[in-house]
Amino acid sequence: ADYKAEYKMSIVVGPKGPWGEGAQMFADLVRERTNGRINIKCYFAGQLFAGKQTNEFLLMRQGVIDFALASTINWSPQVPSLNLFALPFFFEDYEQLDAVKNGAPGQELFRQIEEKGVVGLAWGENGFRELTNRKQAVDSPDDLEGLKVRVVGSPIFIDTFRALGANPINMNWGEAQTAFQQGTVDGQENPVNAVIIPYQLWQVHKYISIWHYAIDPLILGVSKKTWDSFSPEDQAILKQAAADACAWEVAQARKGLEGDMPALQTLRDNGMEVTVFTPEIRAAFREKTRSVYDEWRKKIGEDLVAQAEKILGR
Amino acid sequence: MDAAFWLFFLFLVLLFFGIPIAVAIGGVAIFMIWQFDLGIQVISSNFYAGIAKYPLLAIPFFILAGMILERCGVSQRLVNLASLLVGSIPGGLAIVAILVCVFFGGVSGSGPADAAAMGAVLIPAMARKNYDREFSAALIAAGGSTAIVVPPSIAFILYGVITTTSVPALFAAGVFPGILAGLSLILPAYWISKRRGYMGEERGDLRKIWAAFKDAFWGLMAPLVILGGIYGGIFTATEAAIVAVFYGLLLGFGIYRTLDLRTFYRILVDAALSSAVVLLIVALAGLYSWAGATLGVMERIAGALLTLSDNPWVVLALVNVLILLAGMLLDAISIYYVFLPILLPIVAHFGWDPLWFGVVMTLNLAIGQFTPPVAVNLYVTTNLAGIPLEKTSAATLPFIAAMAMALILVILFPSLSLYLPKLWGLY
Amino acid sequence: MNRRVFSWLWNHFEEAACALLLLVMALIAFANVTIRYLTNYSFAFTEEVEVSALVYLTLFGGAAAFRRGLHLGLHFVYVRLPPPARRVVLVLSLALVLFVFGTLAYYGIFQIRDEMDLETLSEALEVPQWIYTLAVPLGSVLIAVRAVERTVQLWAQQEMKGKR
Ligand code: NA
Ligand code: NA
Repeated sequence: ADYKAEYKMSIVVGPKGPWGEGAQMFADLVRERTNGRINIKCYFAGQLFAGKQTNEFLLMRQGVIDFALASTINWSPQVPSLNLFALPFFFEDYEQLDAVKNGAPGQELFRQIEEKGVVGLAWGENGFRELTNRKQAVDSPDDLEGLKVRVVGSPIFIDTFRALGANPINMNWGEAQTAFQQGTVDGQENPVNAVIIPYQLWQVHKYISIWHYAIDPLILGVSKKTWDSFSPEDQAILKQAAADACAWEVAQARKGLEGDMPALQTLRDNGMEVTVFTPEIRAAFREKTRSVYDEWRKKIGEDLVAQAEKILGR
Repeated sequence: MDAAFWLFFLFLVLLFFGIPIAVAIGGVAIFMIWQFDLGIQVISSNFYAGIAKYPLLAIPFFILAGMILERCGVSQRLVNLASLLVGSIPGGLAIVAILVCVFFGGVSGSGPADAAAMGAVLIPAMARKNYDREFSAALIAAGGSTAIVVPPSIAFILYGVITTTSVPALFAAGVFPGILAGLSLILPAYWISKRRGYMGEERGDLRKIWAAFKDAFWGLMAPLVILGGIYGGIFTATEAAIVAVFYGLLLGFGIYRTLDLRTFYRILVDAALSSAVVLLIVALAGLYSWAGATLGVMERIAGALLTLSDNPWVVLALVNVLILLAGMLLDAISIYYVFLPILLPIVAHFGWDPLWFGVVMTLNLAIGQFTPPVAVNLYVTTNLAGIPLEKTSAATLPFIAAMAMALILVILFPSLSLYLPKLWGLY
Repeated sequence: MNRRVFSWLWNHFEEAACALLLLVMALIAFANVTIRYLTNYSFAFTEEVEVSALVYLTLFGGAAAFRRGLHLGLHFVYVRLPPPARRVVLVLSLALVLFVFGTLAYYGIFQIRDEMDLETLSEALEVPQWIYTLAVPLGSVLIAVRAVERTVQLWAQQEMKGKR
């Protein structure tokens, strides 16, 4: 088939940071390795879908967007099984996450998105989502009672915070930052390297809980319409470039957050009080969010969750 | 043919022949997306996404609030009070007009709405006092334009949505520049009135002033209710708008008892239609700027502008002239969507403050609202005065000059814009 | 149905629908602020309802505004044109309205089909997304109808006889 002069790649965030740089790296690698046959232009900050993140998958399926390095959260309205990664307190560490996404559940998820019109090439990462707030250190399930938390606008996240007794609020990031400053919203949840450090949230929130309540993997995907137009040689090059770029991106996203997590020192140096959850505390939180787990298990697919549970030895 | 050429040329030609702005900008957008194979399916989902944004909800609510407050008689009461206070000096009614326009700008977010509300009361009153019709039409069109700088402001809401700047912070940034722009109009108004011998009103005694004050009190409180809530951290801009709506209803049905259900229905319809006209442009202009950005046209133009000079002052002057000229021809909404994708890279390049730039740009557009040949506010006031728009060209000149002076001050002293947002912890 | 009622509805139903939408939006928003202020509790779903209502309001209100000729445009060249030239502009304008809202309706239906295929649910209320998207094709068709009505009116009216 004919190749387009330029292919469009969508990224929800800006060009700085692991996510944006990883996408750019993929585009550069592909251009280099195909001698310019495949020329990908990155559109950052959600430009291609006019700010409505949940339309990204739809536009890929239609072929308006060719490539995306996308968060599973933004694709979950069309692919509910991607909520697997948002099951409350499901994954304890990176080893568990890697085992699931590289194992049978990961392959099943890629099969499902391909069925819906998008080919998955590789897994990237935004990070474990952690809780910051201005009121108090959170280390027991009752501490969230009545806390107003800005939550990413996805039903499972809202359900989880409800179950914890918090008051989840869904507002756009721009407004949220003003609300943190004014104290009309008490807390938020986001990854450390992607959001908490770059946005210097210590200026508004004194407390952070490293609770790993959900993980936010990224998928480097390509519209099936676009994918089918490439020669098998170029498809192989694309797959390899995706694997290389994502390996680098995941390493960046995890930088300083493995082992004894030296990145947390940056937070402490800026006056934050850091609470790292122990397995016992996590168990208590898991207990309190059990109803969410049971309800979403069905929406995600019993088989898929069971497969993942088996890998995690639960 | 070059994409940039078609994007701008087609749009201008269609506008020139009087095709509605929404249709012209949307037609060009869809044509470009189709012709350059950008993915035509995008139009439906991006059209939808262009409207379905929480901050945009403030637009119908502020329009509704403004209409309720106007029709329950707040405008007339403000005029009465202001007349008794400052009406006795030469050109008293002209100065009153400016003051109430700026004050009503504190509840209305739209220039033409402010000009219509105040013009309906003041233009007949000024005619009775033998003010020249061209003069009063130009004066109230200029005064009404401050409504988009004084918070609340639909212009700031759109700027905030496009640039992801905080709307409450923009509102705070507009307070002093808006008042300054209003005050600047007093100089030419006074000077012209004195030269032409427009006499003042009778001086009000304290008893009369007190009575008028009591009568206008609830109207005087309206801006405080709106802005107090935002700055007290109680409301978002959208919530402040809805509180204003119910404050207006309380006045109209409870305190002044000037509203009835039939009038309320008319207000709802009028507010809904006015909002729809604005938001239809918003959605279709969004497609236009999407096409421009995806084609890379906007980036290229920004780059070209930057090669003209490295001196920020030269570029700033250029940018101001560009927006001012655009404002003479185009409406404010399309200007934001057409020009911001070009201007934002320049703002970032020089490290200009986005809040300050938003105020500067909006002041330029305020001036555009009363400069012929295309001037939404003049269109309203000349209709009320029963004169052709073209005849007011000369009468607008002193006001254009005055507000340009205010603009220069706002450019030179960024703290005029940034002091309040910083003080209130919004920025 | 009574003929007068029917003709009122035909002429004004978008307006009535818009008035109702705006009223409901205002009531929901006000309830939300009041409850949040009094109890510190806010509903995540109200935003979704209001924002979707805003899309319906824009398209239905847009249709009514076409009917009444309220859309903003530059008229100073148009009013100076001789009547035959005005007719040309009038037809060109209508053609463009049909092009814009015709394509929007067509791809709106396209989007609805995709959303049905994928069984996409809305973010907060988890109702089928196409119920919201339906505003685009439905409203676009209404706008096209109202624009045709307005054009027929103008074609027949005083505009074309050079009076304004
Ligand atoms: Na205002
Ligand atoms: Na103008």
